[in-house]
Amino acid sequence: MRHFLIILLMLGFVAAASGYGTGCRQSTREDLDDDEVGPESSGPYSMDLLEVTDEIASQMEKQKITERFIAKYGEAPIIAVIRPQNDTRFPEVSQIFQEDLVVELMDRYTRDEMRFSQRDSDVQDAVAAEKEAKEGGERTDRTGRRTKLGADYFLKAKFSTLSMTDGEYEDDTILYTFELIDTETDELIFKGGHKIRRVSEKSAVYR
Amino acid sequence: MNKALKCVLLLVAMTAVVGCQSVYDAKAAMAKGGYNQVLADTQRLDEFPERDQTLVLNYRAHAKMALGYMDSARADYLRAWNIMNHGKGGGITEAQFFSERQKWWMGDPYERAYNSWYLGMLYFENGNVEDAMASFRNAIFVDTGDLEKGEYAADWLPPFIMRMRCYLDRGDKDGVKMLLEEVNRLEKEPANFDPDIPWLNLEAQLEANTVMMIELGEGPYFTAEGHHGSTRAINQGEYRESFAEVFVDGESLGQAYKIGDTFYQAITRGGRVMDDILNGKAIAKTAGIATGAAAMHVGRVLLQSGGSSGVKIGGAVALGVGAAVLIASLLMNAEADTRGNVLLPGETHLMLAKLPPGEHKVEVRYYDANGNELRDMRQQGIPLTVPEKGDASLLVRSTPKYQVPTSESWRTTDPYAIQKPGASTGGK
Repeated sequence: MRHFLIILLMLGFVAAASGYGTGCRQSTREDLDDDEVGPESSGPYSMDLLEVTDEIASQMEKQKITERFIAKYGEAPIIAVIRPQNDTRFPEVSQIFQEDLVVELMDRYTRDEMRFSQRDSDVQDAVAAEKEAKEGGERTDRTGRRTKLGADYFLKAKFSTLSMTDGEYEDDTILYTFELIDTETDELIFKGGHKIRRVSEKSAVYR
Repeated sequence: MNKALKCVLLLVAMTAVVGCQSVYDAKAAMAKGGYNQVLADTQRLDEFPERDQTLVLNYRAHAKMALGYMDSARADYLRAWNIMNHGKGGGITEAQFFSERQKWWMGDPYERAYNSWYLGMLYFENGNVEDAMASFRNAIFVDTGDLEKGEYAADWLPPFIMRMRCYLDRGDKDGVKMLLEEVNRLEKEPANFDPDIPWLNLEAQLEANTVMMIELGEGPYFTAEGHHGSTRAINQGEYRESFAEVFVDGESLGQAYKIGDTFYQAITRGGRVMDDILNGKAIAKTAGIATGAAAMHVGRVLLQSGGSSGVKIGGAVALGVGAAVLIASLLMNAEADTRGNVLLPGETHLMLAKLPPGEHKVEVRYYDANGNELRDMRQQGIPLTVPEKGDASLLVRSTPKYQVPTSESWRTTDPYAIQKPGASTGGK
């Protein structure tokens, strides 16, 4: 009996030392395209992010926008990303999709084929301060004065959704679109879109 | 046998008590130490049962917002938003038999709408108009039932009004017109909103550059009533203030208009699926107690009758089955879940104005239904900065008052972080 109790105590110690029951939790790394894990929702999943980015970048490639621009002007078009439009019911969505597309485009095209102007307000402030410091002689100026990039195209994300519920199911069809707008003529040079519908079940008993 | 039965009954009572474990009493905390008390109490979320954490998270976010820690409040509201909108929840099976409080708190439609609404207001005041737009849209979505079945449609004006302001920020007048049409189609029910709101037209919306949301009174709370407490009653919060008047730099802008009534929202969202389950549980509980006790009585009589062994076996079986039914019935908890967000206000009033860009001081006076000012509620010197472009927004409350942060460092302070030298202590 005494031996049994000692063994039991040792087992308890091992279990405690290994973190069991101490509240220690580990996150698990999952594939981005696995939508079977995580909470069940009709909102966007990481898999949707991959799908939309790939689809839009491919649509843009197919349109040969950059080739045509280079043929006409002899240099790469400059694109500025402008404020996205989020007409879904999901906050914090547009930024990541927009960022992901820019990353993908910068991966698919070289700087000789497509250039980007970084228009984030904090970056603009930092650039202005840096320029001022250079002009004032506070900082070195390697190349002399250069002006900031004027955009040939604006890239704008527009997400809209058709959302329905009957209390038990939530049904969201999100239309992800990206536009390239000519900054001189406001011509819509390109509009790529991709639709994803997701339905999730909500237990009615929660009310 | 009697000893064993007593032990079982004691076990039942203990289990029942655990099942009825009380939830965090935010009202008591407010009475004790206001929003700072709530903030302190809710620092360690993991100390609360998982099923209550979403509610506690909403309390914590509310306290942070009320103390001016806007960024930290937004993070908490978003976390709660994710659970309330993407979460699977849990505890449903347990709630079918034990206390309804075993299930995860996800909130009634009006509570879910408020979560999205506050999140949207925090995005808006931070200049993130697009995510504000999405939050306001979700506030309307979660407050809409199955329209094909003739269930409730969203008629709580605050998110509609703020969506209009978001559309205007984009320069999209058509979006404003669409929403105005929608709002003007709603039934003009004074219990819900003031039918004489002067800003439900395009001209007024285009003219304005300042949105003030003024919250009055206490929101509704729930009590368990009726048979075994199986009916969830919605009670109106009690408060003295009835309307508010706004002054900017000493000049009156006039009376703010009621655009939302939380109690009205709570009582017009139809019955719950859970109500039927609770009714069934209450009936089953009563019937089970009677049946179990009767079977035990019969079993005891048979055992003591001095009959054959067959009779005695029958008596023992009846006693055992009766005891099982009795225990199960006693364990069954039919009481309605009374958890609800008690920090919500009773009403939301709106003041839409056009003010010159720059710094202003706002004063809000509150009045009772007879038009007598409630001097103890008067708020003075509220800072308001109107930008050259876009809207200024302000969210204030009669009592307990919200603090409006006066510096960026206050807005962005994490109240739980160690105070760094020079950092504002905000509302502390």
